Amino acid sequence: MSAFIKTKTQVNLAFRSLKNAPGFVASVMVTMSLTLATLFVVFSLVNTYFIKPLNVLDEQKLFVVEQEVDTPVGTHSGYQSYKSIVHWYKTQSSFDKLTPVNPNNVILTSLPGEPKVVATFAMPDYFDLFKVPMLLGQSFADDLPLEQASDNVVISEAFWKKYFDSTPDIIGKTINDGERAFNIIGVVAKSFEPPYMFYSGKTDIWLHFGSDQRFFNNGERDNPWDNTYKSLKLVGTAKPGTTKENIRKNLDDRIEDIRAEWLEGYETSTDFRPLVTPYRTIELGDKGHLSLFLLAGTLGLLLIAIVNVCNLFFSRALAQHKTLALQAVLGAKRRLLFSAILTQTLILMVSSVAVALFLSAWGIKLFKQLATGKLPLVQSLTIDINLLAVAIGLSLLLAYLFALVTSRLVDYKALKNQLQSSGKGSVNQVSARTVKILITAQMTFASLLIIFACLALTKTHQTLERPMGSKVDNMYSFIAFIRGENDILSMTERFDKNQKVKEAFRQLPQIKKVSTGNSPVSLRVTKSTLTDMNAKTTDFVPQGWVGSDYFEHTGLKVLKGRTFSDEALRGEKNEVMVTQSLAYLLDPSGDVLGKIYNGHEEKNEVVGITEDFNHPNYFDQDKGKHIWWPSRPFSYNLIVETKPGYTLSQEKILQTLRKEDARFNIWEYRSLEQEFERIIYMDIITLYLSYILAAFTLLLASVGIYGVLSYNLGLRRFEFGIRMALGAKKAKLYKLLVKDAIVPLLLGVILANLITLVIYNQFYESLSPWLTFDISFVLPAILISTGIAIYASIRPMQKIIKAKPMKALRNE
Amino acid sequence: MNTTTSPVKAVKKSKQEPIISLKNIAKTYHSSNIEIKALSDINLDIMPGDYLSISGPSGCGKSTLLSLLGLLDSPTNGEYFIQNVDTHNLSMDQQAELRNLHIGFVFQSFNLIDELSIFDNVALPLTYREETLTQSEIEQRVTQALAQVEMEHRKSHKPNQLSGGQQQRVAIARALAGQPSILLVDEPTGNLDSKNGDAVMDILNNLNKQGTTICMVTHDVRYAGHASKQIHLLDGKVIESSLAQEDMMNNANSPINQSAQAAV
Repeated sequence: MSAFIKTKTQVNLAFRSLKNAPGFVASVMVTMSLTLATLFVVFSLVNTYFIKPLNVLDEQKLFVVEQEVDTPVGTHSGYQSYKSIVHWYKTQSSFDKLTPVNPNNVILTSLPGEPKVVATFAMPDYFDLFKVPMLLGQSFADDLPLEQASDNVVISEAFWKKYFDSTPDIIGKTINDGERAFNIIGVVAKSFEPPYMFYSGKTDIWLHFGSDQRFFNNGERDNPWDNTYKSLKLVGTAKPGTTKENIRKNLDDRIEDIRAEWLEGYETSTDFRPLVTPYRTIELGDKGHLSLFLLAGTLGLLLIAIVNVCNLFFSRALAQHKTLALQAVLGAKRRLLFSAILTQTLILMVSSVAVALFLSAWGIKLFKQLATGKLPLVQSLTIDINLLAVAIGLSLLLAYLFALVTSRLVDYKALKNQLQSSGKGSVNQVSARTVKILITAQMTFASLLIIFACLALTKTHQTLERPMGSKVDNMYSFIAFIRGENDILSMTERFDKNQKVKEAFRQLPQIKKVSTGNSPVSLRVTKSTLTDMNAKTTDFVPQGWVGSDYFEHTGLKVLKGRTFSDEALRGEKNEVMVTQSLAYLLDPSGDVLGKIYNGHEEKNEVVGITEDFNHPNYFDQDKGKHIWWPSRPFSYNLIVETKPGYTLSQEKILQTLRKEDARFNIWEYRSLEQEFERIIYMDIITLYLSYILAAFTLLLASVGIYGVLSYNLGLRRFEFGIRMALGAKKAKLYKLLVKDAIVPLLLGVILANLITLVIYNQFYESLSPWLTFDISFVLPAILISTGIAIYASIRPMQKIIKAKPMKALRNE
Repeated sequence: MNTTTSPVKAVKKSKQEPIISLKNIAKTYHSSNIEIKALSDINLDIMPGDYLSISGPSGCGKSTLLSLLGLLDSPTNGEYFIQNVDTHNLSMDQQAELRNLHIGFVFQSFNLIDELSIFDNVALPLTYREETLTQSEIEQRVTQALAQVEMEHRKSHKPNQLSGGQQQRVAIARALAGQPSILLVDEPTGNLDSKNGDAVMDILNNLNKQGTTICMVTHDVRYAGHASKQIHLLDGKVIESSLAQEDMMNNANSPINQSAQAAV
């Protein structure tokens, strides 16, 4: 018989055999396809982060330059000064293509609603370095010098769609920021994913770097040295043969030209140097670890699934016992039996992988929706050739593994002997020891996964339940300004005008309360230090600018002292307030009232100590420490509380402001409820994912344990029949079950707990941002999962015991 | 059945009363809308010291009858008394206790537990006793039972180290260890060659002579004749019962002989 016909026959036989076992096929396919789909989604993340090249120009040569600053209290890195970045850009000789990059918010007054958009300031090389695909028009011309402001702008496709309705004649149209008009010269295709390191990958428009008024043409308002920006960086490709160390040395040499000016301008620093890092490292940050963590968890799930499916194959082998025995007696060699089993497993695995790929495509789409802006390179997730190779490889490997395990279990000699000497005793094809090991292993893996899901849950619960320190329901925070007003009005005049504007809002029928301040309930937080009179400086601590009525309005208690005086709010006095945790950092006794610290201003007196402000995203680093500065009237920072059910829109705010002064613009507008939801978004996702992971793990483990015991009890059904015939009561039989199943199960739980304790203690520092051990969460989870597993163990036994002993003796 | 004392214990052994009494017993199986009457209208008394054989062609209901006698299954109709205890409303545990105290089983395929030694196999029913026996009591009974079947010297071995005949002897020892009121024996020689079969039958004969009540199912007419009482089943009904083998063997019109010829 030709090989093709043999194969065809085998495949037909396999299909017919599987058709007669729909429950088995469904169980295997559901288990494997769901687990593999999860693995494929996570793998695509790992693939993007670690394997696939980034879509940039010459990734191996692409570096990011930042600065590292030494101060008396330590070294800070990752915050850059314009002076140093611009100096390095102009004087370096290591890079081929190079661009400084710094995004910023810009209000476009020429567009309806005067939206605030994200503008990325960069040089023309940006478009080459990041391979920016242009949908229409062009990017910046190469010949424009750094300092020269340009009146050209490039917009994103989403921006074009939203504000210009995708009009075909977009090139040549203008947008205005209230001071300057910019001509639209190009549209970037929506397939472009801006680098995550800049404003989490969000950019609406691109402007020439020389147009950035934070540095150029700003009249020296801000100190260009100690006014530093996390998002300001140099990005470039190294010249051929140039290493990272070469670049670093080249830039370090250039510092000498500006060292004196630097040290004078950045008073609290003692030294600074360039920090050169490969692009991928900066772009991914610690997100790579997160993906590996997810991969580890998913591989654990896969292991449980594999054990489960092995059990199902064992049961099937038992069901096909007589058929296999007959084939063996008729002369079928072991290889042929293996090949028959392998055909079945191949069909099952290929089908499962196909379903998994389909599910993972949907899963990747969902993941992109959830994680855009939260994780880098999310839009690059896709089912690519790497993933397909993994899928095919896995399907073949698993098919072979299951076939091998099943055929090994089918003892060839015992099969023949059984048929030849029918009925002698019982042929135990899997030793009791193996079954116990299977149960212990299954329960260990499952418990480990459940415990770790619990630890993630605990962390998230703690974050979500921890009182933040501010009301958010029906609360809105906005910053309004009048261009140039600070040059005209005195501080006192501006202060008075602030009070008028506040009163204007209070008069609105839907407004409940108004206070002064820029709410710290924000995705992004700025930080500062405090230096005492002995020149001892704290680390960077979150800060906020608020008025005297802020605390009473938002519900954050002033524990000691008082709130800000009007003099401080008018700029006539320098005052500061701190949270309790910060007070204890400044002085172990916590009694810092009346003490003087330098910060933004010199000699600020601590006038009040408040409850801690626990920003959900910063609690791990800052543990509630926060600096409160008096909100001086450089702009109009208000927090407005509406009556329930009323939405205060940006338009409504602008309308109210412009009744007071038609020149008002809004710099920032936030619904605190929505902002809070954005802040805790990842925590909520983690919460749901943890619940799903725990439930899925429990389901797989229960199915697996049920399968193992069902199979094992199936083999021992005859033995139990004999025992019942000899007079064994239920209690005796359950005692056997305890010894053979419950004890290994409990051992698995204990092992999992021990492993968790060891891992958690060893890697506490790395794990603590994501995991927290709290016995009040872990214990119920362990008890529930153990309870369910015990029930899964007892269930198969109950069936045997409830039936008449004769059924067991007949092996029914 | 609500009793303050276990019904299993409330028995009186009397030489005049039957150990087992079946009245109008019937057993019907239902399978895919088909009704199969395995047994009909069975009336039977087994007295102490009886040696009863139940024979008949394949599928006549012999094993079903034996499983009912052994409380491994329950009749569809009829009454079954064992040691004066009505088994009708007994719970599973009460039935198990009854089996353990009063019935010793010997199966066709021996049914020893491979993972246990011969000693442990024989001791197994003793470990299920409500009144816990001491280790020395268990040892004594097991040794005694193994001695009766001449298998004492193999007590440390495993079942798969014994021949078929030896395994069957151990199975008999297991049945005897509990000192039951009756031995139920299902085709004891079915899986043995004639020499081993004869040896096992000798053991059973000797046990009966010593006073053990035996109820044996067999399709082998030679061995059926060893019993002092014989009943013959056909299609789930008792068609003949006899006290002597010779009558059956000499009667060519006997349904037993007719069915034996049909089987050939």
